[in-house]
Amino acid sequence: MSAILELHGVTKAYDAYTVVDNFNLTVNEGELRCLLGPNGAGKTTTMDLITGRQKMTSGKVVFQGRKISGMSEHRICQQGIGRKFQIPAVFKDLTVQENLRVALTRTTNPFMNMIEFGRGSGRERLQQVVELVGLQERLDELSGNLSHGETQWLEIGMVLTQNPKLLLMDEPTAGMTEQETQKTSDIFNRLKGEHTLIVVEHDMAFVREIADIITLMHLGKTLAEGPMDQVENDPKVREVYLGSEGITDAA
Amino acid sequence: MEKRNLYHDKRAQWAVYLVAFGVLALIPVWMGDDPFTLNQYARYGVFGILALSVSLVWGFGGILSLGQGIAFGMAAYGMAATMQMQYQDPVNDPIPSFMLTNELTALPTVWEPFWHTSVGLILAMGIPVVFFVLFGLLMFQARLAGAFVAIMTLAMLGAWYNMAYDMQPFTAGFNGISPPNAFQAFGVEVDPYSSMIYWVSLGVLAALTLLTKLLLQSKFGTIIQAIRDDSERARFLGYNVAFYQVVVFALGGLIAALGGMVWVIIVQYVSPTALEIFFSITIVIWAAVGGRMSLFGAIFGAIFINAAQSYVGDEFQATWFIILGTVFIVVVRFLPKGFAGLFEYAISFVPNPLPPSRSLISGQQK
Ligand SMILES: Nc1ncnc2c1ncn2[C@@H]1O[C@H](COP(=O)(O)OP(=O)(O)OP(=O)(O)O)[C@@H](O)[C@H]1O
Ligand SMILES: [Mg+2]
Repeated sequence: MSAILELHGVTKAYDAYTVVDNFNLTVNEGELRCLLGPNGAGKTTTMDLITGRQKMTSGKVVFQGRKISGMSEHRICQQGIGRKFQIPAVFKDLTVQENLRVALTRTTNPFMNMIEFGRGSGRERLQQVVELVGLQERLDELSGNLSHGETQWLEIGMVLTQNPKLLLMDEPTAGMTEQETQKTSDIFNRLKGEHTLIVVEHDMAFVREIADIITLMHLGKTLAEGPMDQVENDPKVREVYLGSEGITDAA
Repeated sequence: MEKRNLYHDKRAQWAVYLVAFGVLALIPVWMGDDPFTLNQYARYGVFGILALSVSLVWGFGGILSLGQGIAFGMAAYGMAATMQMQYQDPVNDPIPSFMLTNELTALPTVWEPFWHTSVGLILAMGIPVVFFVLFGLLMFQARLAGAFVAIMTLAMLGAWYNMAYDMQPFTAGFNGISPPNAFQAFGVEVDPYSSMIYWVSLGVLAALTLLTKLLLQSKFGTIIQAIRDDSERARFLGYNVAFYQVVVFALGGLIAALGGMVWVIIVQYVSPTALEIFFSITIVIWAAVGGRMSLFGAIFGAIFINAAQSYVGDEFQATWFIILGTVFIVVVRFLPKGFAGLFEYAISFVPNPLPPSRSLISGQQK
């Protein structure tokens, strides 16, 4: 297994307040990594730094052997990094089908897209994704009318349409019912191997279902890393979650 | 369900667009050829072109430009210069009279290219577009959006207005330029009081509308609407958002510029009023009232409001802007999609007789 993503001493500071503090992370190809940590641990900020949404104070990010920190957001995305946001973001005034078509970026050049009328091209990919996230019946619905769970799936579907090598998922099951969460974990388990995923999640049952290795963040640093059982029984972790029964109740 | 509304059916839309322009083209045949009416209607065509540009840029691109008059005005000056030089004689009378009154002894270098009609036309159209590309780069690279863009475009418009006003030897300042003869191209004179001017204006409006419609149905059209809804999401799908915004802004500039050129053919006159702030804001009001998210709605808004203004009679002219402002506020508050939105709602009660179109994803009929 080779490393697909490496974070070296990544740091983000606001004045004197360091949100991500000399953070190191290595994720291997095909792995599903869960990034855990209490509120404000710096998980979303870490994703922002990887995808270029925020500029880091110091450190560097290497993706497939290439330094990507400093590139603009769309360039980083074009390297093969897709992202689902913590607050679900879809194009509300477009239909589900239009959302997915926009996500299918065979070319991002505006002039090439002026002569693209979507006849046939990429249809199989869209078909696969629609089946995977189960929105077959909703293709012509305005995405602003979708339920919360459906919106999450649509955004996951949009990211999948792009077929990125690395997927960053920020709280994909937030606000989902138990059945919806179950369906989402089925989706993720099917993605494993083919894609590399980093998933931020508070729902421990969900994490148990999907995770290979867990990285536990606290105050912008790695507190513990390893398989679920090992992290759970780590004395440092118990100390941070003092008084609780471990990370299970942390959310 | 939403999309089974006939209003959203692309085939129905194309049919309506084609029929509407076809009917409009017959107006001189039916209404006779009263020259002043035809000239008036040709002006409405230009207002429609301007509203079209706002619909594309603001309605679909999400860029609230209060500066469409910049392209309109620049192109109008370019067209006026071209027509003025058609009148001048290279040997006996090479300098326009307003320049002589301003004590110029030679034709300014910037005016030289306008000796050639084709070069003049290219400049009148091209310079505004180049300017919109540069101005757009400046704004959208810096990720300006919403009210900031509105203020920037407004300030820029103000600057151009002052320039046109102050550069008297080159622009004739406050008086403006009035080319003595009608525009001539390929040996044909475009008489501004004839059926021909009406067809020129309508032809440009129809061509631009249909091309814009086609553009909006391409993937580019969907992407700019996506950027309007959530530019951040689009950026993280790999789109260079600023690039798209610059292209939309420049296309809007191109449309407004063509409007400015046709305008000067119709009125044979240009002055700084073309660059007035109030005029550019009015264009946005037309589009908002008619429906900025519908090309046809915006064009209708422009024509409807102007027709209303000319028919309300003189006693209302003083209060016209108050009426217009009130209508604008009511529409923004209660009809965010303008008249077009009202029409969309009304037609949703009419059953759609057309068979379902093919889904772009499944390839099956739904
Ligand atoms: N612009 C900012 N200025 C100062 N502090 C900020 C700023 N943005 C975020 N922070 C702080 O950075 C810390 C990390 O935020 P982040 O969103 O990365 O946490 P998180 O681990 O994703 O938390 P959650 O589980 O609540 O989503 C928080 O304490 C937050 O208050
Ligand atoms: Mg977060």
